[in-house]
Amino acid sequence: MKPPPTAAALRAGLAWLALAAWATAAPGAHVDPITLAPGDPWPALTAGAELRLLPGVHAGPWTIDAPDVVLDAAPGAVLDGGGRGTVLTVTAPGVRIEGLTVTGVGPEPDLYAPDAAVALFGAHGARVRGLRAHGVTTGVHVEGADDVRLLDLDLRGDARGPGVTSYLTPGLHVEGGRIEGFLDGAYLERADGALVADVEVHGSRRYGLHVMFTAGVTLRDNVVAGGGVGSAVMYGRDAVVTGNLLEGHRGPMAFGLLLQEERDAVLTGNTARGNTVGLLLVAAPGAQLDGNRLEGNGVGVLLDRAPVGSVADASSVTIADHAFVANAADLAVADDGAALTLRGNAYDRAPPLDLDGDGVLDLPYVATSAFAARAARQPDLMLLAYGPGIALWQRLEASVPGLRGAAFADPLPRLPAPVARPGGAGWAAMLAAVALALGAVANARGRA
Amino acid sequence: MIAPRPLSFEALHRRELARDPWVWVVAVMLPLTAFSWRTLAPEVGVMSVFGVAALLLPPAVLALLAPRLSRRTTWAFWGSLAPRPAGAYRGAVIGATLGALLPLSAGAAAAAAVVGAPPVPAASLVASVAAIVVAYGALAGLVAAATLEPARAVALGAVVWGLGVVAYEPALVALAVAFAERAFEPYLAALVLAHPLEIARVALLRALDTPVFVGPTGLLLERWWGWAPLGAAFWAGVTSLVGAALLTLIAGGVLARRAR
Repeated sequence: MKPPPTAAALRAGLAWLALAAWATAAPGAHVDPITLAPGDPWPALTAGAELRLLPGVHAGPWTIDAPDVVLDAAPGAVLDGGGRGTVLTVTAPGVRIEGLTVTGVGPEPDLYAPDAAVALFGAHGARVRGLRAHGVTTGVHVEGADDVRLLDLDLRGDARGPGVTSYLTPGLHVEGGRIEGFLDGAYLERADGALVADVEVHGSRRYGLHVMFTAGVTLRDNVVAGGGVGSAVMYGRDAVVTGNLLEGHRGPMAFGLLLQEERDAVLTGNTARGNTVGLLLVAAPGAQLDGNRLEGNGVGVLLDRAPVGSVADASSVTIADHAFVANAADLAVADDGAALTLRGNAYDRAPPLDLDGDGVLDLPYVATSAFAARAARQPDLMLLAYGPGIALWQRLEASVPGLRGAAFADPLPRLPAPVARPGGAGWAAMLAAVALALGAVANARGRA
Repeated sequence: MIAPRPLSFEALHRRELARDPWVWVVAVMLPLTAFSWRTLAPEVGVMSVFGVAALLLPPAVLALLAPRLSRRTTWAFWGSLAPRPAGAYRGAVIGATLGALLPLSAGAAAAAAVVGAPPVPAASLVASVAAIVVAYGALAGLVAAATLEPARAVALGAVVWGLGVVAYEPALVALAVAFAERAFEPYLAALVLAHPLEIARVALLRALDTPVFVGPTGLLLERWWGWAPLGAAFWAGVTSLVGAALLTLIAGGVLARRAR
């Protein structure tokens, strides 16, 4: 029997009311924001609660244990941990933290369990934007959480702990911001598919970016400068490192970027400048290096052997379309088992013989030397770089095949773009004129 | 009427060298060679100019100075000069060295400009070239006094240049390889610091802020010279001058002994 029209209308109305009730109970919808002034007690949180911090110093530490909570700090709102442990701990998924400033982090610097400004445990999908924490042991600690977003962080450390440290965090994104003065700028372990992009990392005491046991990490358009060691991607596979500037890492063990026991890594469009070693590859099979710029390094690219006892495969590396400029040594191979292919790279010291004018030099260029390989094993010898005796030795080695050890030649070498020298010619002319004048004066006085 | 003061041996030789067109030819070769590195980064250009100067200038200085200082007629004249032939010879060595120093330093300055060297590395390069000229000028004086034969003097000086410039660094590498399992750093530091030319080269690397100070020896030198960009250059200049003074002193003594 067909129901009467009034009953159908009633059922439809009830369904609508039920839908409306469900909608209002859904997380994050129609929950009145909680405004916290300095001195207010930390409230009991429910799912989807929205907290607004008013300017002033709020006494922590705090814990967010309800999902989808939003903590929105007004400019000037500071959460102070009083120097005891982690200041803000999040243990629920979907939490968003915006614009928070944190002080008074505890002193524990442990890489895996540090006292941090913000710690996220199991906080899947959490998002932290604009966190500001200066003079802290650790900025952000993430553990056991998927798809966390750390955006526009402003972290300055006391060089004892990591700026960002993460363990078991697939899909982690660290994007934008500045991380300065930590032990490691960002330490990622088991963070498959993670992304670190547009971050400036300065003055790390150890590694700038440090990625371990991770598949498919992407490091993109970061600036890592002035650290004690450099950046490292180790014991993983399929890393993509692109568009980064790696600058000014100097010391016996310093490098722009280290790939160690990392399989099938792709490095494109990076610039390594002023490092002891620009790119250091240790047991990196399948590495594809394309279009990077190595400038002013002690050694541009160094292929070193794996530590004694390692079972890792030797490096097999393709280096194409690079620019090697002003390195004391462009390329050094200290790994007897390494397979290296050079193709179409630009070398500033290659003999500029290009009779057909096609941009490709007419003779293959031997980019390696025995001195560079030896200096890679005994860094003290780098002190002899650019010496006249060494230069003669290298020239002889390049010219006489019988004098070479393991030599790798680029069959299609090019020349990099020339260095611009505005005003240099004028200065040269002026000095030459002064020199001639002085010579003339000396001659004239001699004849007098 | 006052009679003009006779020129000293120092002035005579200084003017003779300064008027020698071959000195100017050598001087001009430095900036001309530097043009081949003009498109490179300044640090590569500066170090390349230094390398060429270290390879080119010692034989040139020996070839220009030693024949003049070993002329038998002049030597006989000096020998008759009582009571100080040694002093006269030392003056001649200093004069000849100074005569070559000005053009060659000017050439180094022009070369530094050609490769676009910043002011401090440019000054270090000129100082390094000056150190080379001074050191090998004094050496020319010594070998000339010891042999009094231009060809033998130049040959003897060339042997010293070969050992001190061409073979010195490869020999250091060979020693480092031989002593790879032992602490070689103190010896390397001593061998670098004992050689004025090596100090000059390291001073240049320091001035250029080249990332090669990475081993213990390099770090030691960097810390030692870290107080001023020109600290290493100053040290290079001092050692060169002291070494040259010593060689010149000995050269005068050698000549005086032969004159007796």
